[in-house]
Amino acid sequence: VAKAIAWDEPMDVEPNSIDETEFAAIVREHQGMVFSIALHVVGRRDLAEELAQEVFIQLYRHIRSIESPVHLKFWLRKTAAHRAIDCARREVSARWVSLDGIDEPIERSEGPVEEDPFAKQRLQRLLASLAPKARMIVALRYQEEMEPREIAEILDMPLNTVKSSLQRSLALLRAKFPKPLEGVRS
Amino acid sequence: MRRLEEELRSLLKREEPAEGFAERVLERVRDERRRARAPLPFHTSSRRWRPLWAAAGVMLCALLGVAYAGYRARKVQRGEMAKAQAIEALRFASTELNVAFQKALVNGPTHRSPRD
Repeated sequence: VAKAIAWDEPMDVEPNSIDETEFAAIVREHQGMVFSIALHVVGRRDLAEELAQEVFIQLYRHIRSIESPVHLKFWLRKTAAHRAIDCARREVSARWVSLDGIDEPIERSEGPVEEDPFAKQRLQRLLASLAPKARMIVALRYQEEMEPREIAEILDMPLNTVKSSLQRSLALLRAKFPKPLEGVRS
Repeated sequence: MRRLEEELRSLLKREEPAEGFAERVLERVRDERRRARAPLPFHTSSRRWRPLWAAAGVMLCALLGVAYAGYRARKVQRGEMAKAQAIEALRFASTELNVAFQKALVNGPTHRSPRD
């Protein structure tokens, strides 16, 4: 796991003036966001935790360059997103999930996906079959409720590319995800 | 479409990392700082040693240059001395030969060959 995530540069002895209590508060406030961005793209809790730790250590090194709470959130999302995509790309070669390997949709019971473990598992597998960048776009859109314009800024991509990628991913998921069985409730 | 989006929102909701995440991050930060403070071995090519290595390299080059210039100067000096000695020796030999030739001219041949 440690090998999968590269260090950028060595840490200075006194990189900033922030004290540990202050920094710990920042970590606690944003750990869910950073961890979830990583988890929903790399798909493994151990890797996501390692990656989230790396993001916060990188933040500690660059804390002086953070100008405001809005900038902090943007910086964390951007760093987590780019690191997660890199990590997922390395993982993809190890265990590639192809859409062809997923069965055709069958009808399922009506109700939210979290109440149907099979449907949840299936949707997770479908998401895992998307390319890392497309997965990240879906994660930022539905986890962070970000607009395509904001996603484009985070991922350094043209707005139209983000929009078309999102539409393509949703079309793929819709085609493969089972529709709820009418009249049957779980 | 709306339904799938709701399903995605439900699936992709934020999750918290395992208990003690912030403490683990802080521990790694402290580890990094300790490592950065620890004295480095002499041969380590760390940033702080780079100016010293560069200065030592320049000094070494300068010393080698001075030594080579001295060696060249001594070599030229020895050559000049050898040249002067050779000229002196030739001059001496030339004088001696000249004297012997003059004597030979004055005294005539000292002996004849058997055919004469």
